[in-house]
Amino acid sequence: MKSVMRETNDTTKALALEAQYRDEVAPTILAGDGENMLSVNLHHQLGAFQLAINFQVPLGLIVLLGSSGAGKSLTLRSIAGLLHAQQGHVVVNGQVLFDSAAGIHVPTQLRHIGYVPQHYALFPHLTVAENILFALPPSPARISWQYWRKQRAVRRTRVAELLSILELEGLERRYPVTLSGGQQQRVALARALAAEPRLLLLDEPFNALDAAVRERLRDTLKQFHRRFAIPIVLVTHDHAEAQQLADTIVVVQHGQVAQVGSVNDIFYAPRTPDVAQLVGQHNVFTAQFAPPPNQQKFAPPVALRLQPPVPSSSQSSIASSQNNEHGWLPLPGADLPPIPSIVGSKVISGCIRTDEIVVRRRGAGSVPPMWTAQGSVQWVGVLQEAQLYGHMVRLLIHPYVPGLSSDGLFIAESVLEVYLSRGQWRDVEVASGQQLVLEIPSKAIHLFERLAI
Amino acid sequence: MGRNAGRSILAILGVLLLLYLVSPVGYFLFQLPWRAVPGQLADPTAISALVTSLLTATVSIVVIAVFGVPLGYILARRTFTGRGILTLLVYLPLVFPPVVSGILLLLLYGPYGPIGGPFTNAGFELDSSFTGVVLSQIFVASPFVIIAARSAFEAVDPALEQVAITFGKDSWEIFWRVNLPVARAGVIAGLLLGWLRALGEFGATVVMAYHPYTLPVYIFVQLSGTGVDAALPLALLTLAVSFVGVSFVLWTQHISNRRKVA
Repeated sequence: MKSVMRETNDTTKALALEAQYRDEVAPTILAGDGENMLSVNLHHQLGAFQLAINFQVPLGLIVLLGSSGAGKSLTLRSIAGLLHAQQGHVVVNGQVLFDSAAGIHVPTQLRHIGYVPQHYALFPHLTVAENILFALPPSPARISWQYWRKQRAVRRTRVAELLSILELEGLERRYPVTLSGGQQQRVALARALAAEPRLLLLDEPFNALDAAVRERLRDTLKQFHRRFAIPIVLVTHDHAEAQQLADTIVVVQHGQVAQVGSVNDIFYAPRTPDVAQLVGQHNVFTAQFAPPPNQQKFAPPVALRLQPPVPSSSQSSIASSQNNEHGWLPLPGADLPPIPSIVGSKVISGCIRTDEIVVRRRGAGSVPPMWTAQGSVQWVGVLQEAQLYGHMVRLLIHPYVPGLSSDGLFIAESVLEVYLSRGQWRDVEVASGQQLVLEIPSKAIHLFERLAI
Repeated sequence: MGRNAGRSILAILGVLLLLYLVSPVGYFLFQLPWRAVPGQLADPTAISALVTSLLTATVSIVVIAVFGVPLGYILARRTFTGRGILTLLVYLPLVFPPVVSGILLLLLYGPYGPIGGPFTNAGFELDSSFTGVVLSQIFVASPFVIIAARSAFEAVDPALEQVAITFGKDSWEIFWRVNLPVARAGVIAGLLLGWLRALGEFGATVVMAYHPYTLPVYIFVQLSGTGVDAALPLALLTLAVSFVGVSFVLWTQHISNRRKVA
């Protein structure tokens, strides 16, 4: 059977594969009729910066992820109505807040959208309780002493409620400057809740906090979100934060939406090389479909062959020598989502998932074979560095991709990033400069849908 | 040059100027015929000049506050064409020689001026009157308030205003409940400085409203009529008021700084 396959025209096969990938481009817009959806379409020219945002996602904890200057905050401010976009629409749960075509622009005052800016913007001249009181919706005016007293009591009760919900009891008379960062954040949330918003916008809410308390406060926010079932749009540049919090991630790059999806979609299957870099998948490569050299024992009829990096590509992209025998990668299995290739080009781009690479000690034998019976490829690499990274170990490995000749080549400059659990690392632990065997299964390979947005 | 040597030079330069600034006041206090002070201050004209000064300066500063603080706010927060020119215009009265300001005011508000004329005919003189003093003081002291208010409002984080908008508040309410209270210390300092400037105003006043005497004008009258000795006790009076006023300005700033740090 194998021999028959090998005898087929390998080039034709490669082209057929390519064509199959090309046809299936996944849509980025999630379906919905407006109920429980946030639909944002914004076009705005700000100097040289062009904002062209378009996404529709279910309400929940939505994270706008992107590097600074990508247009996340502008998007947030447009949703709040603080920025009047030149064109587009904003629809929250079926309610049109902005529609340039229909001439609708609900003023911020009437949108009932809570906005917590980066440094919380607590009123410095008001105590914690007064800050929250400020945000309470005004009670209808009526000239009656009794009515006024009753309203005052109602408002005070509401403030007390909010204080207790956000565990701020005892701080009501304090001024914002006397509070810790985490306390300030809770006051800002309590104040935003007081206005009974239909949607809460948080702009980098953890930026102003010490790293030590961030993770814990993110959990608190997640609980807060569940408890009040209030839809949140949160802006961050931190992929760990997005991972920890998001129901849906909207990746914003260069003023556009690069990808929309669940945490798994974005982190496991980034759509473009840029998104991959943003979410920490740094092992970006370019490759092309080609038949591997015939001498390989378990080699499949068609595989991916790494391309030398273009000069502008990042350090971490992997090159190979021009030699035909080097730099093979297995193709992803059929259980993975389809991978459209780049239309009109035989070169495709992808990444080697940092946490799907198997690392083993180098045995006493010779250079390992390139293909295994399971369809993985094996490389040899030299450990540059091993670092503790949270509860993981981060390895930087120089791959050394042997051909069949005995003199394998180091891939110049490129470094493969690999994450292992501490347990896994303990089994293979070697010193820097030592060799390791890298096994790259097909599930470690992810091919990008597009080269750019 | 050593680090310490550089610091010493800077200190010496500063101290020299400080000495120059303080020495006249010191010598004045030393020179003053203290025994004669109570008698001369009991002079009814002096007392009425003091009362006139305090009253006019207070009326002026109230008027400036009502019109100047909003102007400072607009200059700080709104962007519009002509804002630069508007800022320039605000600075002008600050750099005009006060006498020139007085002449300009007299042209417009004097008995033969296009505005002053009708008022004078109706029996209400805009010059040489309490109103005249107030008009001069407003002209000269407004820039202090506008400029101080503008920087105070500029220092208010715009995010406060944006958050307040999301709570459904309109800009009038936000001005009163957010911007003004947060900028309060700077605005109050500006008003106090403006009040002191109005109190000390001489150049424009002497042209626009020689009568009724304000304290500075009366000091000038005593100086030119009777001599330095007669003017000294009055000078003491103005120095005392200025000293108290400036102390108050610095104290309010100290309080607001402390609240920021606490």
